[in-house]
Amino acid sequence: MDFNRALKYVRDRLPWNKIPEHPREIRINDNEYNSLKEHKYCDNSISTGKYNIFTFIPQNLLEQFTRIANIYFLVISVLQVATGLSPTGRIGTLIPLVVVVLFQLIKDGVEDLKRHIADRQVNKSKTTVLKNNSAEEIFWENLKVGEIVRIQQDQYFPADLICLSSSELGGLCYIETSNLDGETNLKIRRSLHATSTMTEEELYNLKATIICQQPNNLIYKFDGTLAFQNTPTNVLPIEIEQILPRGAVLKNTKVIYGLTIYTGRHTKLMMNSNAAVRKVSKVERYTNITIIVLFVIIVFVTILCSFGIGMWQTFHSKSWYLFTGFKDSAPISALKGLVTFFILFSSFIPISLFISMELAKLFQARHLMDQDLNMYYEKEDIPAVVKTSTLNEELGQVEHIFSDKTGTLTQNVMDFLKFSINGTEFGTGTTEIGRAAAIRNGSHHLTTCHDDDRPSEWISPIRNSNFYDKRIMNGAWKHHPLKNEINQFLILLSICHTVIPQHDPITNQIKYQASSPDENALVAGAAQLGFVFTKRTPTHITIQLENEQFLEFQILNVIEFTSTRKRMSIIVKSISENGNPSDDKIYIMTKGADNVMIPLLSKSSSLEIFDSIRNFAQEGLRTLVCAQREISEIEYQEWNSNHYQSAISNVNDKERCLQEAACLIECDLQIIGASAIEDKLQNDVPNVILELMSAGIKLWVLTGDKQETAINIGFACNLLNQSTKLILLQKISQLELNQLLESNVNQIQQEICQRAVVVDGDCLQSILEDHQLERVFLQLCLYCNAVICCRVSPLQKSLVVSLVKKYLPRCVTLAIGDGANDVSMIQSAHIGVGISGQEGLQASRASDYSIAQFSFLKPLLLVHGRFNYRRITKLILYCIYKAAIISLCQFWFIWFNAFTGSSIYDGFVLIFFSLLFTAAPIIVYGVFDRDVSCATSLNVPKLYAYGQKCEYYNMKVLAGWLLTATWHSLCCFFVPMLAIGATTELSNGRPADYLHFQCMVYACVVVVANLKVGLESGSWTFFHHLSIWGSILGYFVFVAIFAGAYPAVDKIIPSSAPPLIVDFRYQFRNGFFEFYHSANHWVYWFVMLLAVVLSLGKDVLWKAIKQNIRIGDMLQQVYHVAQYLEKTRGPTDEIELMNQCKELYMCLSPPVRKIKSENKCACL
Amino acid sequence: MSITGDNIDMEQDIAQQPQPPKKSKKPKVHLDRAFTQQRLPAWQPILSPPWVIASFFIIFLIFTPIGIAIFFASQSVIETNELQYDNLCTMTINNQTAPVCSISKREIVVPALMKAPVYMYYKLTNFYQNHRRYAASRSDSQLGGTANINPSDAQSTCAPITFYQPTQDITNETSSASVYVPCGLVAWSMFNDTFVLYSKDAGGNFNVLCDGPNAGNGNSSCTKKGIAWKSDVDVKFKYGATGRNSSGGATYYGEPTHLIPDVQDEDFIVWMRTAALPNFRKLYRIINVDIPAGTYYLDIEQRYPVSNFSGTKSVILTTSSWIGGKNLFLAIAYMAVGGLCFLLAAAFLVGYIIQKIKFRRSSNPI
Repeated sequence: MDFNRALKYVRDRLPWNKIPEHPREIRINDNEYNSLKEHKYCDNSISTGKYNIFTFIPQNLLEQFTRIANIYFLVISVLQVATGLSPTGRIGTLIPLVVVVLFQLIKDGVEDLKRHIADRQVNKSKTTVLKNNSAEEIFWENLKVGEIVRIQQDQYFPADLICLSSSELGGLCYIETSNLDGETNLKIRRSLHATSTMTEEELYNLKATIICQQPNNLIYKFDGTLAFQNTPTNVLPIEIEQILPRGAVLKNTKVIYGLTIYTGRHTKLMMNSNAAVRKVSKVERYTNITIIVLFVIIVFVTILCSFGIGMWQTFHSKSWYLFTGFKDSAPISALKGLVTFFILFSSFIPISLFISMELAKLFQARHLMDQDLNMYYEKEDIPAVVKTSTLNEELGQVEHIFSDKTGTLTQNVMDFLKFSINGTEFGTGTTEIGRAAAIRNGSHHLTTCHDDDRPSEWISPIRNSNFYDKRIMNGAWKHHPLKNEINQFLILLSICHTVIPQHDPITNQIKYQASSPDENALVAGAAQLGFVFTKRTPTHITIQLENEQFLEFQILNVIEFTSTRKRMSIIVKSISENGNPSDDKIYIMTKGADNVMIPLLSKSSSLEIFDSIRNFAQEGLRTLVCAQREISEIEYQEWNSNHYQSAISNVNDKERCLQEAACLIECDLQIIGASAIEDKLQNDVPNVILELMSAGIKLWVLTGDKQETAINIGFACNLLNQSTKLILLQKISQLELNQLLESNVNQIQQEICQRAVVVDGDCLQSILEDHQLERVFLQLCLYCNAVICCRVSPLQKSLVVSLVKKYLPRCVTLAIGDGANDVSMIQSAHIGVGISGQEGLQASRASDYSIAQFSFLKPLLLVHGRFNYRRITKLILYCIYKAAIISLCQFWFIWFNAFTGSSIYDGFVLIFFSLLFTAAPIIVYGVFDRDVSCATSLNVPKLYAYGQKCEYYNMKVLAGWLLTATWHSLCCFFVPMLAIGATTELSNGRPADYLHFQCMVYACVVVVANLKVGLESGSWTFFHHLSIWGSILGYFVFVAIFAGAYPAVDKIIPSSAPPLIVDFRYQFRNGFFEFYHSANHWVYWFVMLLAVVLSLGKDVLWKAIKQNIRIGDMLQQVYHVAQYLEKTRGPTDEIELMNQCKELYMCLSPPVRKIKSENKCACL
Repeated sequence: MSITGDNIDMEQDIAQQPQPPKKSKKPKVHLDRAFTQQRLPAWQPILSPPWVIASFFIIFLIFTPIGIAIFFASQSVIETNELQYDNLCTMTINNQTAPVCSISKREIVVPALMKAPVYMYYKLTNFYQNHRRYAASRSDSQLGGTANINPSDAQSTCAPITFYQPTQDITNETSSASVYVPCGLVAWSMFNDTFVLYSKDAGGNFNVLCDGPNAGNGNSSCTKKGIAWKSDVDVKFKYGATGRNSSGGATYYGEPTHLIPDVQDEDFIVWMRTAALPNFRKLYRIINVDIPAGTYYLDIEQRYPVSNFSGTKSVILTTSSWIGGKNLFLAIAYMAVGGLCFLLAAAFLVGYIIQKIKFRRSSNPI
């Protein structure tokens, strides 16, 4: 249950917080009107903390006690304190519960305090407000809606502002929004045209009304209007271009004046900072089931023992020494016994489990995963970041990886490589993908490309361009037969974009700031060929040609790129060199994806260029079609005033209106050319994919690319190879699709070969609409090694993930991506991994783990995932074992104490058992233990199957651990009982009694439980030694000191203290005091030695048999060989393993999954 | 690429901007590289055959001698048979007078010379001193000598034996003066049979070897002092609690002969250390002279009823050793585990050798 979300939901709906529905009306410089309560404006202070000083304790406790385990222990504590039927003292459960809850409370409190301190720092920052004819410095938190602020260069915006005026030419200003969306490039913002020239004095007296939307979380959208008080009918539009969001920084601009429109939690930044959904790992869900199983066992045993007490009472009712006062009738005794036994066996539920697990996971995340140098990207200084440590062990169980292509498999560093004009291709060389495709096809299609004759030492002079073609480089294009077309094309490339040039004073070069790396590459490509884009003002764009010649264009309109339009257009007016306005020509220039561009082209366009585009796609290049049209002045004016202006002033539905307006002018275009941009594969991707596949992980590549591109990328990154049989699914009718799928499924069952499915977006859509098809499709995918989905939308990406989750509920899915379009996929998969790279931080913000390179998946899964899965599952099992061994001893004792439920341990020492004497080793295990070295884990991917098959934690393993606990408790109980129990005395003639017996059983349990951790460890590091030997020694030192200190304690606590405290005093005494009596006698130590050897001997023997006798589970045998090899020769790898046990190794296979039946789906 | 003149202003602005030194986010590993990179040196416990064989063999080497040593120690302990006496005379149970029956000069055989100190025990069976509510029915603070215990606190721990009740009206007498000292079921049910041990000289005269009720007096060579743990005598059991105590031979209400025990009486202290299991022995007296082999005689005064919970009562004489009383369990267990480990070591060794031979054959085909 996510408590905070619920709280926020309620808070936002309270009548005094509820945002009104009508648009927001702000009157500039009218404080009286703006501060009216009915507006429901909030102040500008923010609070990202979960709690405040009053709600902290109640809210945190409430959160903690929504956990079922805590409620259980609370009930037990109440029963213990209140009923007097407790066999283990009154505070035996209360104290550990309080410790556990306090620990969590402090941990949460410290985390929250940090947030509050950070908030306070922000709220107390200063900003300058223009108020009452003077500029005043105020704290951020005191800023109100409708006030005008002055922001200087490099200052953060304190709230969402409308830019009124700027010091720069044309009212422009530049902002960096990396805090908001992670994009580090500069963005242009424009002040309102009507106010852009206003001075500070004018702004003091500005009277105007702004009407805008109520606060919302749309970062890229804003609609509003402004009307001056003196001309109320003249409504001026305000767009996103005027908005300066909180969290952004002013750059390259001396000063701006902005009007506050949204404050505090109404700002776009805060409206977007929703806490991610808490994901629960498979292991944790399984643990909850286990706890229910344990609970059922407790209830069963409790009832059994209550019958026992009833029976005993019936047969022994005459025992005079129990006096008449105890002679409840048998049924009543049994009923009371229910409570007693329920309390007695409550220790069977491991109270320290969740806290140990949380601690271990926190350590794993902060000290091992965040710090791993194998996942640190030196080049860009990005370490791996664990966002959700709760999923650490889930990383060891992944079976399906859903990967984005651009920026995930590829670098998302775009290089301009080729272009084509009228079917003539320019540019040489090819890509890794192209080479892979060439090898596959016998290189016939490469004939259209010129051989790569670039000199080996040739380095491109410009970043993001890797173009080499002697025919046109260095001005040679002027002699090419297509020189006019080339000229036209290059001009288009250098004009049709939204890039901002930035001059670097140190290197004397221009750096381009582009929101998409493709545009950057196109501009760089044009620059390399002599068309250098040098300057942009709001109205003009300047290109520098060779010989210090300049071309200037006036920008009339920019219709920006949106994901629905998939193209961008710019309308410019060329300014002729002779300065004669009548020679000026107006052009619309458009570039976009080929499929959206075809309908826009004039009928006479030659379509030869599409052959080139196909060739480019084969090489995995990203293509864009460029087209333009000359527009007459009249047509432009008509369109601009009738359609465009009305579209941009539309407050409510601007995007759609703009789209419609754009369609009217983007038509009948002449094709100019097509560009091809290379996106290189990331480092080591083919290898990593090969190893992940070898680890039994199925890879799904989900990309927006064309089918050919997608297939070629598949080959380039080893997802597909020569022998892979491709199953192509394209748009056909559902019936045919069904037949095709079924025939494939049937066929596949008979043949053995590698297969891959390639499906396109349209086909996927029809599959996702039909339950029957879904199942058959998934069945087909399960038979294949890889699945490639091309031309898919972001929504489809997440639907595919959901499909797998729905029908294969036991499989763990992992989605990895880098862009905003991957966010939904990342959130719907069990584990979301974000690549923190070029496309901003949105993906990595939504993710659970953020890494810098795709190849880091390998250490993340094969090392950390595998290790953590083993550590966490064993930690859980051990905590259960630990609780079982201590409770089972109680159970054996019941048979000797007339079913009365006398405790074999004193209530007090029982408290210390899980919190003190056995706590440290398992946490050390959970953090440090490794069964093989990192290198081996990395080099032998097949060992990963342990996690996928849930080999370390399933009901069988759990039963095994419980049986072990049973054997250990038998040893720890019966060895002392038989050795010193009833009729044998100690060496000084005194018989050993109840207290000695307690003392001895407890010591045996402590020693055995601690050593068991050591036995499970795959490697004994210094910390293992310290914690295990330290815990055992610590126990003896502890009891020795406390036994010695007892008389003092006895004096400190007066007998007149409340019964609870006095209770404590005597429990304390009994628990430790007898240690001296016992430890003075040899028999105590020999009993312990025997109990320890007898219990753990069984484990050693079992392990020795499993490790040395080669029968049974193949995976386990390979695993033992790997361990053995590592022990004798150091880190091992697949080759060495193959030498040792080839047959075994080849037979290893990932788990076979069955698709969940329809009926079950319906129930869930 | 050259720069055109237009942007000079902007250049200067950028140059003026203070550029904060960028902090690297690279994990700082110089100090704890092994720790964070998971390369801590470690010992891998691989159970390879030599290791298994060696460890089992070492256990065998340790356990067998221990077993033998314990065996001999245990054998050196001389113990008489348990003399069960509850069936030797019949107690008449009557609430008003103490149920008593006496056994005179019952024979007990000492099989061999028992070196001093010889311990004399009584043993009860089927008596659940570990019964949860029975064992809890005592007040440790009262036993420790705390003066004014709140009567309701005393009752909460001692029920049902807390208050002296001269009248039927229980509420009438609940002041701290009427609280029994000691209160509670354990104290109330104290064992009170007495034993006198005689030897018979050549002339047929019985000489008192140990006079249980009057230990330490006269010609009796046994002591009562020292049968309880020193810490119990020193710390846990003290006079001082206010209430109805043993002074002047006070008895429990309605049981005229049932004396309230003395808190510092060592027999009482021994009884108050409850036993772990329903069959138990408690130390009665320590005889400080050697007892030669032969037949000895016991006078037993029975006051303690056991028949209604089907229990038995016995008396035993025994010596002790460094490992304690006579109990062969540990010795046998140690020897058995040692033997088992030897067998396991041998089995693994044979398996290992066979494997080696097989490997050699397959790698050197003749």
